[in-house]
Amino acid sequence: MLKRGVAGAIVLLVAAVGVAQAQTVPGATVEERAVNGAKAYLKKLGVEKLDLTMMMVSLFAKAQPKYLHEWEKLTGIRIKTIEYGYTEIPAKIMADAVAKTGQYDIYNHQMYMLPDAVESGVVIPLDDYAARGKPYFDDIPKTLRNEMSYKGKLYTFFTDGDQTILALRKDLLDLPQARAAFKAKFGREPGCPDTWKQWEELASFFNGKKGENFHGMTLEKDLYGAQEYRSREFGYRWWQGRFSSKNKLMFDRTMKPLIDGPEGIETTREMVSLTKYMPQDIFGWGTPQNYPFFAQGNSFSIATFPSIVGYAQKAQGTVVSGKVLSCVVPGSLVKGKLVRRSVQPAGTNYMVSKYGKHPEAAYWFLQWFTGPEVGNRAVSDPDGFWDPFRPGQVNDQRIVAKYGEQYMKVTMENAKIAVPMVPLQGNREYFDALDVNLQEAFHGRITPEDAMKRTARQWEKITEDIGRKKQIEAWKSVVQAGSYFDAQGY
Amino acid sequence: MPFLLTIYISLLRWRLTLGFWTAAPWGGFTNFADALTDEGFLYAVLRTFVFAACAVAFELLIGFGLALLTYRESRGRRFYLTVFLIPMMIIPVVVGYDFSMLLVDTGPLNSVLSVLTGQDVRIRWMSDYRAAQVAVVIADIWQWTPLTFLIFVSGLSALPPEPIKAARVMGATRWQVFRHVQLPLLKPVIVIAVVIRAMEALKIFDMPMLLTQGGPGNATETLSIFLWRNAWGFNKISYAAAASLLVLALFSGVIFLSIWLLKRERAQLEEVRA
Repeated sequence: MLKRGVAGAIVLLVAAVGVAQAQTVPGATVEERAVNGAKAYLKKLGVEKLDLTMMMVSLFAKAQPKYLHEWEKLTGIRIKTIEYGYTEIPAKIMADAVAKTGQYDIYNHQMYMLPDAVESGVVIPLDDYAARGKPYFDDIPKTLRNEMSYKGKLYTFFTDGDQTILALRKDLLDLPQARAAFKAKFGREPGCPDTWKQWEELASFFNGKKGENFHGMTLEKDLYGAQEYRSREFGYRWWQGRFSSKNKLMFDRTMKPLIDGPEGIETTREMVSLTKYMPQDIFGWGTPQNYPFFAQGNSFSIATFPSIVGYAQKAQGTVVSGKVLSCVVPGSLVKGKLVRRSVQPAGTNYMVSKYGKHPEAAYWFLQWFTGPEVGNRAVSDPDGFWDPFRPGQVNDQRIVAKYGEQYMKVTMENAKIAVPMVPLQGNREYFDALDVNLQEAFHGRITPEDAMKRTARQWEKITEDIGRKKQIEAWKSVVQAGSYFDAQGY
Repeated sequence: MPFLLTIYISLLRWRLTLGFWTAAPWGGFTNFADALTDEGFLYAVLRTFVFAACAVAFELLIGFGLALLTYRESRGRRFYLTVFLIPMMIIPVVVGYDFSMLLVDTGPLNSVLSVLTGQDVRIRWMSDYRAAQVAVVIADIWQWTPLTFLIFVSGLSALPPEPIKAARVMGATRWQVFRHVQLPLLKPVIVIAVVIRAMEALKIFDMPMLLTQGGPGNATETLSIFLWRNAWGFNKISYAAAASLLVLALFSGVIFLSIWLLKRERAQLEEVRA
């Protein structure tokens, strides 16, 4: 009887393993499995060719097509693209949630779009496909990996680490007289700052007026101490990284905002304070204005997207090529411990539409394009804007050649400490409330305290409007996944 | 039908994240109450009316002035008319981008002002609260003054010559002719110009969006931008529908007032003619 039971169990176990193996698509690599999965899908349909459509961020119009052609050659699946500016895409995706046109198979946007897309039902979970295709995420830093999921389900793939970075002017740091004077004043060697306060000290020291003798170097133009986003649609992103370095969560377990506490007020105060070392025009600048300004040698430091380093190196008219020092983002001292947090303000991602005719075919492209091999190729692409984020990429010579060793080391550190921007439904509304109030504070129209109080009040209203219970559930899943490390306040 | 649907949707609590509107819960008048207590909405209303008042006032004055200078037959009149009308023909998006280049802090406008004043003028046209609001008004004036100019040129050209001749024969000065004859006769034309421009100015979207995206802060966030942001940025379709209905009620008041003024002017004109 016992023998029979054991034998039965063994038979069942073998059968289960067999079924599982049958479900896994064959192939030695992530990309091979994706290609084989796509081919098998076409075979199942009984066709040799298939057309899909991707709603694509126009920024990738130059870089993406070559990969689409390659995919078509490998599988027979042609992916047409319809391009929009990244600011237009969220509305287009949400319109598709209502119209259910089926016009798009893949949505390409940014990580923070995911909660709204999922809640509207316009994208599908990818767990079942992933169980068969076995994509490889293990090397992706945990918090970035968390952004691929919503409420515990996998919805999106990405191949772009946009975690923020701080860049300094090495040529100015290396001025012997400046080094000595800085050390005499602040008691330490100038270099990558540990804290936000130290960055401000650097900014206060490394600036001057045109024609001035700056520690043995005549300034050919005004030199500003710092650049960090202060314009509408941008400033709030950087605030979230800074706030997270105070090791505080943005909400407690009841979704009561915690941003109007001392940590939030201090974060805003620090940002307001640093603004005095920036060009006055900063209030109207996005990336297209900030990047050239830094590359043309007008400022000492900039906190921005990681692509600034490559841009400063190669951009037309750059005067800082070879003179940029990449830094891990500064942090805050919390109970005597240094906490650094970069923020993921964008991060190009890919989602599968619920209303497309061939979600499986769309999935296989996602797995192929974001896999470790093809994904790395995309990151190293001179035409692309996909930034490094996988630790293994420091060993990829193509990527190292594009970005440089020092940058790679630093950006990987930033990837390890990256946190998401409020990964909840309605996040654009939360962002906007924060954005507008920060703007008021930056312009000196209200105090940092008032800015945070107002934002907290508006955030409460937004939570109430969306549904507190729903938001509590989503926030719980974010916190429990460790997306904000060990931040306090839950 | 679309209007009835808007009313119905405004009574729901529909966010796009709920999917189709049939899935939305009933909200009654909560959206209206929310809008009426929403600082963002109320300020957007105020901002839009202030913007419209400033822009339309300048457009009327400049348009009227130019019309007075050019309505008579003279050499080069056709050329003037053509040149003055060009801005109106340009697509607003293009005008927005043109102005965004002109108004860059180190751009042509500040350079011209620097030359004129002999000082280094660095007005932050797109990143300072007040300056950004002025910039939007300036751009609107540049684009839409031609319309008021066209209306006034047509009006002035169509004035009956007899009362003017009679006044001159009786020894009236140019100013007196203008003040007591031409201006009263032109009143209906002025009201038409005000109504047309005010209605358009109250709906402005493209210029502030292209120049400042409604910023800095929400300094240039007009009603149209506010509604667009809420509907397509925050997915709050029901709320945007309710707010837009409130706006409609408000604008309707302005329209009815304008029509009443126009009718009153016509009646007075008929009396004069009789």
